[in-house]
Amino acid sequence: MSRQERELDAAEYVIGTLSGVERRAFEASIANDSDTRRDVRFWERAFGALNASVAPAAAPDNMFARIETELFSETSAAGTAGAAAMAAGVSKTALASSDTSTSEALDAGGTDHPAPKAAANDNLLASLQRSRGRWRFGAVAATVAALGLGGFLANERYGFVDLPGVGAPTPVAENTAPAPSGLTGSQYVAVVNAAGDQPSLIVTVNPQTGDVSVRSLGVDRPDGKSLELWYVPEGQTAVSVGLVGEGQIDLKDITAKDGDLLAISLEPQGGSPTGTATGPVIYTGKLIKDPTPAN
Amino acid sequence: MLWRYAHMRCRPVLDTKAHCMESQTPLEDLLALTAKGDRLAFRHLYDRSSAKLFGVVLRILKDRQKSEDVLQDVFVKVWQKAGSYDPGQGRPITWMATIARNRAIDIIRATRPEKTVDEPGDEEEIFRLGGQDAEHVDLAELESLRFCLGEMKEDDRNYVLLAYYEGFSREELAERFDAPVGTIKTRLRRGLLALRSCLERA
Repeated sequence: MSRQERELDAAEYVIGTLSGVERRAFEASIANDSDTRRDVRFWERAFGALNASVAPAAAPDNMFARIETELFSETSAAGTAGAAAMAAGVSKTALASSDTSTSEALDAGGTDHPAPKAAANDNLLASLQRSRGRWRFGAVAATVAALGLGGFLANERYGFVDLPGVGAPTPVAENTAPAPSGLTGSQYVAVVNAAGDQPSLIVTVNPQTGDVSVRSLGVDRPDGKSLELWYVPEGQTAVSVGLVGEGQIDLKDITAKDGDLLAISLEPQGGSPTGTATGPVIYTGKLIKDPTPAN
Repeated sequence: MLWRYAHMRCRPVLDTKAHCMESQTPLEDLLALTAKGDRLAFRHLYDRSSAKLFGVVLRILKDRQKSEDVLQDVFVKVWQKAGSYDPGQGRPITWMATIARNRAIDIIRATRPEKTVDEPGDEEEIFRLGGQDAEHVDLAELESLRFCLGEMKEDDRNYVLLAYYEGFSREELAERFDAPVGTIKTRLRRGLLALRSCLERA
């Protein structure tokens, strides 16, 4: 069998389209074939990114107890490896270090939301602050759910972020505008976040060509609503620059600089009627100079 | 057992105060502790990953009972094999999801070779790529995968995604797309070849 066929077997094995017989034969055959094992790992890793879009489902409440029973009950042989480690006294040290890394992580956390500056548009600022409060709630809710107290809060959190609607396998919007004045040299990029630090959109601004691209990482527009993109220069009023995925996004009057903020609010269809954000600000991100040079 | 945790700022189950955000501890660390036999870390690892893994398995098996059995097997395996996790294989969640998918695929290939094609859930959802789950995904990897999937012929991409997400066999793809199994296999492989060379360039 040719090398290429082995590579393709590995790919089909990972996506799961080999038949049962072929799967078993393939598994047996890679025991002595490190190249093909490497191919398998390549595909597992490449496709692993797709798991992020699979909706979580709460396991039954007694599941962990079932697992512990299988692993740790007197008659069980399944837990041997772990049990041996515990007997050797590793566990206590491990617990202590677990606690340390948790508090370190906590100390480091909570400071990375891009805070809007004082003179920013009052309405937007107020919305952002409300929205920050909501994010905190989201984070706490996720933690409570993570501690096994139920999937409900987690669903609420996903419901808030994961808006139902149109799929977007390619960039949501690929808009061109005349080259904005005052922008030279570098490309700018903002990773726009929702619910804490989870990236949702990547907005790239190329001052040379005036291209603005908004790449979605699973952000959807709810029916009957628009997502309005706002540009908030440091210390200044928010400016609407367009609707995500609907027509022109226009940054020609903008002098982008490091630290400026992009925000996205949920608005009535067609955008805010007042010129300032009227709905909740659901995503924000700081504009930074893209380290990779513009084309 | 709780006395064992008395020295800790955060105790399992009883203590849900804000400072007890085990959700901040990287999964890598929880997995490493699990490998050393730390049952509390294992519990947190379970709490943090079970819903995602259950979602992956349920999506493929479409049967709650079987999915529960698979999930149980998966965590038994995670406990036993935690020491063999290699960060070079991707994030911990990727490693665990691979164990879960393999187990689920083994089950369906053994039990539903003749099964007729289900209505595959919500199409929109199937073809939506990516997600918001920062912990579960490497942004750069997701971006290059999205780009390269976008470069594929639409049919080829649909075969790959239906197989990966829904556990479709070649036969099921053939039925759904009304094409001979041989043709599906040829297109699937052509698509995967193109995908690989794109990913290697990206």
